[in-house]
Amino acid sequence: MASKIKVDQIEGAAGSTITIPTGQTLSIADGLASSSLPTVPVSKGGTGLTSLGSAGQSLKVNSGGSALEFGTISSYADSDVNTLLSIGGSAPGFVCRGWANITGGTGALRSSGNCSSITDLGTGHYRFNFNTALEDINFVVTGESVENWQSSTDSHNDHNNFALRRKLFTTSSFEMESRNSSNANTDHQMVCCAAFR
Amino acid sequence: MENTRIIYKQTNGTIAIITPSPTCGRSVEEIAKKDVPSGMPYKIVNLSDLPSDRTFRNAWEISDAQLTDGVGE
Repeated sequence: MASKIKVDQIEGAAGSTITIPTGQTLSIADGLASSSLPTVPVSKGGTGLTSLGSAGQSLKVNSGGSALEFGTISSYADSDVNTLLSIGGSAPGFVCRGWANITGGTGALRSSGNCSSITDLGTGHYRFNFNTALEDINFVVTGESVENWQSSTDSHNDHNNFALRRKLFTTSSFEMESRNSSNANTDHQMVCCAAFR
Repeated sequence: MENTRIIYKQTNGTIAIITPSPTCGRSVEEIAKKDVPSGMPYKIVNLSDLPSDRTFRNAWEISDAQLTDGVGE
């Protein structure tokens, strides 16, 4: 049979702590008064906070990285992105999805973006391999080539007639050829390409 | 990685030479498996192993027995 004691206060026989022995559970049927609840620290799964922030604020780690706090989290607006990308006016801007500047012939990369490699498929024939594939094949490729680019006069007339001919393409790559005035594949000193979608 | 190339033989017999991008975040082996066409064996070589004279580039040859470093996925 359960026993019952009625008291107004419980006080430790020695010191200020009352210990519930291991294996014993203290059940409180109707809860504790909120005024008696402690603030739960982060280390115990709480927030360590005692008041709510203002409307629109979010819970975040403070600048010292030592506690949580309510505050405003900065975010970009569409206009901020346009400014970042130097897009003026009201027309939308569309960014390049992959590009490369390569040494014609060897296909050696001078610089690139979203490009895992360049495949030299033969004289004046290259494949651009996207590092991350595009969503479909309906992208646009543009480019240029330069011959004798370090000279003030271009004596390589045979290479002047550049034609970027997009060939076999998938979502993960596209091919292009640099050609001469006779429409034959020719290695140019610099070949550049970019894909937009 | 700048002096590494991946070579494989195209279906038309012409050798293809892949220049890996050192900034794409993938290893040469990962690029080889990704960018060599599926099922084609490849070899990873040093740039110095390739001819510097490209006059007869399309006539370069390699034995199938030398393409031993992996197969495109």
